Amino acid sequence: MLRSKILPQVLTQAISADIKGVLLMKEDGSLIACSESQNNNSTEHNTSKVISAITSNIWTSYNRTKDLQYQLIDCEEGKFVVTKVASLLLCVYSDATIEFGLLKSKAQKLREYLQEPLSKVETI
Amino acid sequence: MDNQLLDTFSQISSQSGVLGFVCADENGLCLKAQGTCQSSTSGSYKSLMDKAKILADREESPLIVIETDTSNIFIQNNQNITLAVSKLP
Repeated sequence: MLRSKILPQVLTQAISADIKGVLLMKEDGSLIACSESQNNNSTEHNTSKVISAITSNIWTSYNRTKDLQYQLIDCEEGKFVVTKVASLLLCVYSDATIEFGLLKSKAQKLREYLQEPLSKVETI
Repeated sequence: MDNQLLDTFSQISSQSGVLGFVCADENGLCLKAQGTCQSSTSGSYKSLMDKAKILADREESPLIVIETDTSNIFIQNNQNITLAVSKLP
């Protein structure tokens, strides 16, 4: 059984001063778990829902050949990294000051950590 | 998660004569840039290192030094991480 309360705690490990939030979602954009920075101004839970809906939509649009590994999105006020973990999507987003390399490496480490347990959930 | 990395970066920038540094991952994406070094140059440093490895034709990673009138830039690669440090000559 998947202990869903643990998931946000795992995602919180990637949160730092520059990282605003980490989301785990299905390919249709519905949230599975999320963790947001304490000093994030947009404290409404709706923000996570909007971000997951938009990022999953962009992912699906570019993943026509089904071999997309990472998607880096550079916006005026922030940066996003989206990657696939088992059958789910992991999104790490930050403000614009952080560099893509660091953001991607965080997403990569979380992906490696979550890949095995989430794959088991997928097969059940 | 990244505290150790950030500590190392602050150690580098606190060294005397260091004007700035840029750190790139195995794809040339910038991990951190500070001081006079621009984050947009990380890919160039990584590419330069790849070319230097071909020229050096050795297992070990070469050390590249770019000398200018105003600064010396030292570039080295270790475990897929490329670091370029700009120092006073």
